Amino acid sequence: MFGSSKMWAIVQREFLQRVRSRWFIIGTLIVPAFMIAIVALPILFVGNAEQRVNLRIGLIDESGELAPGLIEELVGEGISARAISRVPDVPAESLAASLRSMNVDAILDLPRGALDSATLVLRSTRRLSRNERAALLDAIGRDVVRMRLREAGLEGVSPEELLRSPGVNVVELGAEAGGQPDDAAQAVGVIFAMLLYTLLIIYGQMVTRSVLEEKTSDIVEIVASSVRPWELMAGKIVGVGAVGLTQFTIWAGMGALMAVYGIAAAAPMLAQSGIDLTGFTVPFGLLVMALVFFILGYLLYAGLFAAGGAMLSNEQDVQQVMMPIVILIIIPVMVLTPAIDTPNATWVVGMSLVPFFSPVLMLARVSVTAVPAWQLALSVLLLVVTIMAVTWAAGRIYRVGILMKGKRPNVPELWRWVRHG
Amino acid sequence: MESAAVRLEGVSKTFGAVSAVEDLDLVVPRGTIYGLLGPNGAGKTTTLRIILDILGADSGTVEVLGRQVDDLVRGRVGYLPEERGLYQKMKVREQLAFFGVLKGMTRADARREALRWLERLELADRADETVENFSKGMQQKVQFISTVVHRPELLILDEPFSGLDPINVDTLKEIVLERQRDGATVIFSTHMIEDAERLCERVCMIAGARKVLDGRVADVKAAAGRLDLAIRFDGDPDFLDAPELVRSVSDHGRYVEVRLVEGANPQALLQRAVDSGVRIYRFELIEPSLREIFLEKAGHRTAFTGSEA
Repeated sequence: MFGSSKMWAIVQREFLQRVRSRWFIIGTLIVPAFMIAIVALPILFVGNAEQRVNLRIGLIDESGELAPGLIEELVGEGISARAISRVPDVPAESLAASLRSMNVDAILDLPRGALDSATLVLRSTRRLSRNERAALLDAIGRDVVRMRLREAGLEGVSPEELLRSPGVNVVELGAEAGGQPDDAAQAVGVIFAMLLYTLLIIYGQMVTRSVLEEKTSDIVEIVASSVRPWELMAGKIVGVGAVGLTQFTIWAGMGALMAVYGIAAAAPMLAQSGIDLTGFTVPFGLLVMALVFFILGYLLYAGLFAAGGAMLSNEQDVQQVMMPIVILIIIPVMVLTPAIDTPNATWVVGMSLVPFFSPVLMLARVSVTAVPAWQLALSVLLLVVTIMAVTWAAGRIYRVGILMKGKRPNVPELWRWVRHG
Repeated sequence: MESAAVRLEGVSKTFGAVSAVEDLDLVVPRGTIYGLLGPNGAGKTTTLRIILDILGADSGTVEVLGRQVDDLVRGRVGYLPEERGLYQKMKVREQLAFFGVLKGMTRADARREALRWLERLELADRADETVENFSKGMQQKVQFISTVVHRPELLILDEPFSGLDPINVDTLKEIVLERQRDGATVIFSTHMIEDAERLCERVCMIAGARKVLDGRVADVKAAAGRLDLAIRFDGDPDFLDAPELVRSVSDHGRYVEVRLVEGANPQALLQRAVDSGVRIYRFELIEPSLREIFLEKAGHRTAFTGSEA
């Protein structure tokens, strides 16, 4: 029943019309460009910002003992510093001008016992950037620790050496991503979930619009006299799905290239944030699971989106009809972070079995933990059963809906459509 | 005996509380041009959609070309709906081939036939353009082709002439008559009874979801069992204001059709006209028009006076 040449004609038309369109080409190129920008811009900014530490500080050291060590630390952070004998004897309002004439941006007061006091005062001619502030605090912090170490008789011990301790990699036995760093597994889970979310939103809406387009341009009745409504609906869903598969394949190819260069480039920044992605791979089994959940998730939601399109008669109502479907898609994404953190909590297990949430949540769980086979099987089974039920109901709504003009149906009317077809 | 092109028995369809078609029996013999007449909202489109299995009937049986509607039947039927459109971004020939394939043709066949039709309707040089740049008249031609590209045995046209320019009206009539000469059956719906009277061999008139009458046009007229007067005149129509002679008058533009009171003498009306001083150009006893018969049977004079929607 799935081989009818008419349905394939619809699939082919849907696919070719979309893939040949200008928007497909633009979209296929723009999305990766956008992704690259999101990843690359912060790296560029961080890189530039470091060079922009361009601060000159004058130190007014009352005791004369603090400045030398601190200057060494400040210079280590890229801040130029020198000792100044005293604050220029000028009225407060012209202090800034006289600091500039001394070629310093700020002066730091170091009274006796300064490094034991709660706060120090830096009088600055300008705002400090985040990096400058951090560099300043780091330098002061290290200087203080070193002085205290000396007081404790531990001169020459480096503070970093003193504070160093091993990290812990938790290797969960039996997990798909087992043996990998935790961070990598979580990243994979998040990436899969976000990709699936994107896929559902983009191609789901494409299905709705495709249905609506045929309605508003009065083509649907001609088509409906030639093929059965469910063939038309199935043809559209498969056709748009094929567009999605094509686009995702292109993106995946670009993504793989990017990953090879990108992870290497981003490694320093990621390391700074405490994320270790080195030596991470996505296991083949996980990729297969991802493909299964992508396809099942798409089929489930595409049926809803198609029925939604059949209910509409004009562009203006699109958002209203899509809203409930989009909310269903967003719910699992909203709980994604806690779900990935505690993938075996009762509520996460429960939600990952619910068909409308399972594509995103079960896939995320599989990425980060060892999911018992029965849970996996149950979620797939429930998903397949739900897909059949939703497609059946959507087909009935579709049959009535495609010929309806004017007012959107309310829930009792929809129910009647489903019952009588 | 060959089966009928379309046979409906006891077909009903309701939408919520509204009854669109009630207990309709209909037999369309093969090879005829059959008119489905009735005012807007009478249930014509619903009836056609039920025949095409676009809508399911609530009750009754539907038989098309001798069998229940299935994929094979769909491929032998051509449909031109009242609301008809085209894929704006699709090339004309490709689009026609697509519709042909949906009707069960092979792609190569469909492409060849599409081109043949485009040549005939003088659109061949634009076969590889998208429809969006076409004029309305050209789009209508493409729609005609999409209806007949697969050489259907049964053509179903819903209000086919509404919105057409005179040239396209002729083009469509030519295509329809040619299909009929090749043995096809043609059913078309219209609320313009005059169109049907000119083209159809048989008609079915429906109003308010029910069949009012059906049969051969000649039989329907003969069954009315009376003659009306067609009068063309110049002057004051006051002479028609004679309740003892005139039962009703309907204006056909160039002439008025007068239905006489039973037993009234047409000569008496002619006398009145002459006495009133109007100039008479035509005074003829004619078979009543389908319109008059329908109005009489349907029992409400407003049925066809609404403007074309």
